[in-house]
Amino acid sequence: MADQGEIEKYMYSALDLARAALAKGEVPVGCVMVYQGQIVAQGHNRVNESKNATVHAEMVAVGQLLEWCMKVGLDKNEVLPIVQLYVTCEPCIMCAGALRLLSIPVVWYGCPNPRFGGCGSVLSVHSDRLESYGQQFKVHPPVCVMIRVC
Amino acid sequence: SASTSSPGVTIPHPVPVLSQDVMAPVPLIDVYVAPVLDKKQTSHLIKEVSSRFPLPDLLHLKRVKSQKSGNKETTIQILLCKAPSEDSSSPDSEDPTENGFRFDGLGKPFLTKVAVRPAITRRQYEHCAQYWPTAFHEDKSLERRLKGEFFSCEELQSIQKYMKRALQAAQHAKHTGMEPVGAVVVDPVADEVVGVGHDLRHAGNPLHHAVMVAVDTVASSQGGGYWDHRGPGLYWREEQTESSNDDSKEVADCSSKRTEAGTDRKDTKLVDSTRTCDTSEEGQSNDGPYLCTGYDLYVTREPCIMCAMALVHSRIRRVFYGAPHPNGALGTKYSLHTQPNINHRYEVFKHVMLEECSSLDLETV
Ligand SMILES: [Zn+2]
Ligand SMILES: [Zn+2]
Repeated sequence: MADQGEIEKYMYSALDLARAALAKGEVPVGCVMVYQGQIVAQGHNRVNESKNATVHAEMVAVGQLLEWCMKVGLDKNEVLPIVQLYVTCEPCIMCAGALRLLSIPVVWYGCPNPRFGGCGSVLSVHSDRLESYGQQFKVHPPVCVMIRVC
Repeated sequence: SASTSSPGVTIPHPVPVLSQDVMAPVPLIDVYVAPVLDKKQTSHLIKEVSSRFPLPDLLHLKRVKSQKSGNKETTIQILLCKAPSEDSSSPDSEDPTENGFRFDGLGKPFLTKVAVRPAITRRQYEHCAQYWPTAFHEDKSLERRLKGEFFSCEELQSIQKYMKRALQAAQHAKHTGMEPVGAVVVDPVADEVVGVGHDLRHAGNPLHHAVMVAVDTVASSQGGGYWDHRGPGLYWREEQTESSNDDSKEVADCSSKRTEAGTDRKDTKLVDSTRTCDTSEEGQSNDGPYLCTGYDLYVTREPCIMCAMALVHSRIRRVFYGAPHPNGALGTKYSLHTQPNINHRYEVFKHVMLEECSSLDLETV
């Protein structure tokens, strides 16, 4: 489990990605995925670039993580259950479902997503009882430093 | 209900997937009513009771119920107030028998049940009316959907045609060791397929459900796309000359088709990706492309919550699915398309070619 300093460090990395997204004309959301204390994958929103409204930061990061696993010869089913996700904004319902399917155990997010949030705001996909739909995961309450960004 | 397409062949009508508010009986609550002792006093009593107990939440109910039982005289009851309950202490609920209730012309109050909110369907109305008279305004379009009289013959044939295409994609998936789910995105105005996908979750990325793949192929058809979905059975534009049974023509050359996509009239709906997005929007809101606006999706299996939300983001118009699924998010575990606090709604119909879609999940003998 990361300590407060590490949590902030990862959140700032996610924030940098969000800023990069904004500079490219995307909605500013960024996220990083941490495995054994290292950022091994990251992503920001690429909806406009791809003309696909589902290419959220989390989805991009997941794609990178899977590629990384292949590159270093690790089994994704052993990596995913111990990866931590840091994202500037509460994952939407779609991304919350995705994170469950991947058995990612824990998510830190910067600010709530009252429009589409799937980790408590609109639905609680992260904790709902669903049979054979991945694993429930924990979310951590908003990290104060993020509020002014969102 | 069914509709004939040709003599002896009936196409079952797709079943609308509606919210619980519409499908379930209206919940009942306890209220106090009192019998009118002198019928001539009725209208006077209505005025007095209405002013003493206004009942703003129960405006759909008539204040008075007349009951004729057998050869006896008609009895009249007046609605007084909601009964106090454990979970709510609303200002209009009280027990009128408590404080020596006295109303000239009314007999002793007693408990009875009434509908807590107005009936939306005729079936709900008929159930509510058994308890207490209530107003009802029929929604004819809704009733037609419920009776299975919403789609014309031509429309039913078209629905079946596209679901067959999705089944074909699902079969292809099955033959290639993939999860047997197929999804087809259709432009109903042009009456053409704009994207075909099948499940690829076993090919490396567990999130590549059929719907996600199909959505990305549609993006590809518009000069975008993010994932590298290529290969037999997946493509985003059908050749006019292509026979849908000819597998060898299914391999799409996505790169050459991207230049064609520039002439697609759909381009006019695309958002200029260099425009600055609205940073006041919270979360990943969709100022970007609503790439499935106006399109319909045909998918052999009920979408999961991830896919159902992907369709919200993409602004799909309607979803037709075949077989329900225990995790399904369009009627089974969730009813995402009727979720009140989500700003895009789409219509959902299920049980399209139910038998064929259900049999996809069976092991091949
Ligand atoms: Zn998302
Ligand atoms: Zn899905």
